[in-house]
Amino acid sequence: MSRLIEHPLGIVMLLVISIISVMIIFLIIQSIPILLYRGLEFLTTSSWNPVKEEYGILFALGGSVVVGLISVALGAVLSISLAVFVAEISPVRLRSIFVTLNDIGAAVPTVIYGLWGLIYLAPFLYDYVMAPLSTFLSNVLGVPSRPGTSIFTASVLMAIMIVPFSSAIIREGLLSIPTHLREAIISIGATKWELIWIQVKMVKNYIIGGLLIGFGRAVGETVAVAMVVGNVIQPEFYKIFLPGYTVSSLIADQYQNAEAYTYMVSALFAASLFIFIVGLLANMVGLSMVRRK
Amino acid sequence: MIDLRGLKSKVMVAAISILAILPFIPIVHLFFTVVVNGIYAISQNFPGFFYMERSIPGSGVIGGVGPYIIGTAILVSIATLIGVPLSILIAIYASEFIQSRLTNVGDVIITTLFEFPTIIIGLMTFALISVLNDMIRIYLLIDVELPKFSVLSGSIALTIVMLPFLYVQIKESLRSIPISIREAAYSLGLSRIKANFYIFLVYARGSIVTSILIAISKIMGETAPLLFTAFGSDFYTISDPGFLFKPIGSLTLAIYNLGLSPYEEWIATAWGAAFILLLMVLSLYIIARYIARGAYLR
Repeated sequence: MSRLIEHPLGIVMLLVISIISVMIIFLIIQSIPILLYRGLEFLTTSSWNPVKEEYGILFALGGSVVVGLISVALGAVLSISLAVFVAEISPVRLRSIFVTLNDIGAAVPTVIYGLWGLIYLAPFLYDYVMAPLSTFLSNVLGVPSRPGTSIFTASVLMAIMIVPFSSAIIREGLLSIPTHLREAIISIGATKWELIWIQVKMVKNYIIGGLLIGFGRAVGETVAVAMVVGNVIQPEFYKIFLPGYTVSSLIADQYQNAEAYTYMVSALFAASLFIFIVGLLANMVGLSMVRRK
Repeated sequence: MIDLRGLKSKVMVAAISILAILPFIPIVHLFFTVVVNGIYAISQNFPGFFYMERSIPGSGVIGGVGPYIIGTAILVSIATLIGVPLSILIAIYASEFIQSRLTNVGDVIITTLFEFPTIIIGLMTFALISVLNDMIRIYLLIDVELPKFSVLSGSIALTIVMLPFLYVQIKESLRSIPISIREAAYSLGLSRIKANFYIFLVYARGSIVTSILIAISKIMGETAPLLFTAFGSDFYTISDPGFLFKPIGSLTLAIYNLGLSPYEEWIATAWGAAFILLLMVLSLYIIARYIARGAYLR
């Protein structure tokens, strides 16, 4: 039977663990009032009326899920291609350039992505993607408006932002495949594509893990999304060309006046529990997929 | 006979190459626009851009980002001063007592926060201070309020953002120290603390300094954890003796708030701030990479 604390340093560890746990517990405590006050309606209705103290966050939950799914779908193709390209296709001498560029893309502060997305990406997507498509798809996707801030724009921006992360994880997987296996595949006469395809199937865990972590990032990302998503209460969140909200952009957009209303702080905290749970699952499942050999 | 397999292979490889280059286009474009717009904004008001406060909208004058630079510097310094020693201590514990139950619990809780949505960390800090305030009022019956929106709470939030990253990185560096070095250190009769501080940390200094620099560049670019904590301010607050207990601005909060504003002068200021921030973050990052390379070559 080992003691709990073997060494004085353990006290510091215990302190850090307790502070973090206390903070998580307090996060949950803060969100209880609104759940008692609104009950299940908090999750199943779309309304945000602080004056009447009416809060229902379905629109934001929907927005988050839609942004997460579209950005991962777009990001999946790009990040797998990028990882394969760096590991298998690009000349070895150029590899480090691509890896560095990729890592720098991951190091850029997200708020700068947000500013760029607001000023350049949103008008670009409006002119070349949303306006043309909406001429015949406006029933399904909604009619976009200038300057092009919408749930779709947020999804594209998030796809751009998660590719450096997901592709780094997938690349790590590809590079960890033993050389003798690659040689064996080549020796039986596989073409380059067949070699790539077999290896991609071998790193399935890394791909799923990388994309799950990407999904967690897309749902949790706050300021970049808040700058391009439009910040409009949009009950029809599935009409992706319309401006909307995600849970995190709702929090970022409303925090300044939250304390003026009785339940608003609690409502924002309860909403954040959603990001908390998604972040937790994406992280834990994603990391365990990557670490599984 | 047509080589169908070869043809398919060529087509697919070409397609993958095109798809792989695609994500670099926005990143390169982003760099280009930040540099061009940023330098343009700064040149409009040089060198005032670095120390003035933001301008009055409609005045046609581009103000400056002085208070935001100071804010970022203060927040990041305090967070680093708390976060680095704390993570070194817990990383030493975790690398020394691998089997310990405390290490296992710590690993689970701290690595859960790794790559965690940072807005949650801001909210958690806010919640911590709110609940503490309630407790003080109810149980101690004194009328003291901890400031929710302050330099201190902003620094606490940034500390918690950097802690998991540093913990994981430093723990890995310490665990990868060869067993022969460990045995040699302990054979000299050093205590665990002395062995770690005099030998192991020094031995792994390259990778540890690298992780510290990367952690600093990470928290420098954080916005979300500051929304509910540092809150933001557009003016110099450091002349106020109690500024640690008052809200403070940062470059990231400024880019967010000014970028979303409808005024041209403020948007230009946001680009200037973005350029300065990008320059700071990337220089730290590049220095870190350089040190890391040196550490591996040694």
